[in-house]
Amino acid sequence: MSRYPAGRALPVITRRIAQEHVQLYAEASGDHNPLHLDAEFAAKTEFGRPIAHGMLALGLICEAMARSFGRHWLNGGGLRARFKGPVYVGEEVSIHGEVSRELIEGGQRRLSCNVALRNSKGEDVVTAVATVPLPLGETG
Amino acid sequence: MTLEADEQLTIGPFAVDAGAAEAYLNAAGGEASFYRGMGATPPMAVAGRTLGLLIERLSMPPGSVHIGQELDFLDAAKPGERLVCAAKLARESRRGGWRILQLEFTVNAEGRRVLGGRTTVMVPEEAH
Repeated sequence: MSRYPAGRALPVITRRIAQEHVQLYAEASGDHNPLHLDAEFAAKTEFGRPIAHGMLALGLICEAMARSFGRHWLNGGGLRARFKGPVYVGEEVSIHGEVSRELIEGGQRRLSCNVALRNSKGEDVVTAVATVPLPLGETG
Repeated sequence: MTLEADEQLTIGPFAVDAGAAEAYLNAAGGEASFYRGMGATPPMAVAGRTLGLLIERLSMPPGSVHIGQELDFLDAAKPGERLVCAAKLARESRRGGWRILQLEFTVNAEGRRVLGGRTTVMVPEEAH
């Protein structure tokens, strides 16, 4: 029996995205877009206040996948993500996911997972399909 | 700079050193010991730095919005490893005062392909 049957939930991870996290991400990436860092600038945009970098939000999803699948994620993992809404700075978000299916093709085994970043209102503002290769022999 | 459709752009060499990886992990809540144990750089630290450099090179204006991202983590880069990105504009369209750019890129580390991706960004038209 598979250790990762369809419907198996991934551990939920909750985190508050503080201004400090956004600042650290800006330094690490070099992306200093004022939409993320400058409240006065962000107030004049459709968002009204600073939002987190999309790649920082995606980073939370990736770290959740790394916790679940370890080195398999780093060497062959893949993501197809849509940013459906903003993640506001200061907001508490959570990562939810579940295994959607397992594919075995040409001697390769891949798990596909539906993963979402949910905001404090319960809206899925980043959705992603994440795939991860696993050894054929790895069972529960 | 303005990139024409299918025009290739090379960025680098650049590196994600241990300090940048730590800043990324502190931001995204990753476990440094996990990556240290494998001698690997967090792949999203590489992806984020790559996108930051693309934004800078293409002079994307303040207020640009990231709307879609595809990533393939092909192999882990080592901390401080010499990285080179090859990117191209795969698609461009216009909608309601925005230019919508789709950029495709790959990142090689010492000749090894470590990352592939496709980024979709909305750029305010009047600012560009």
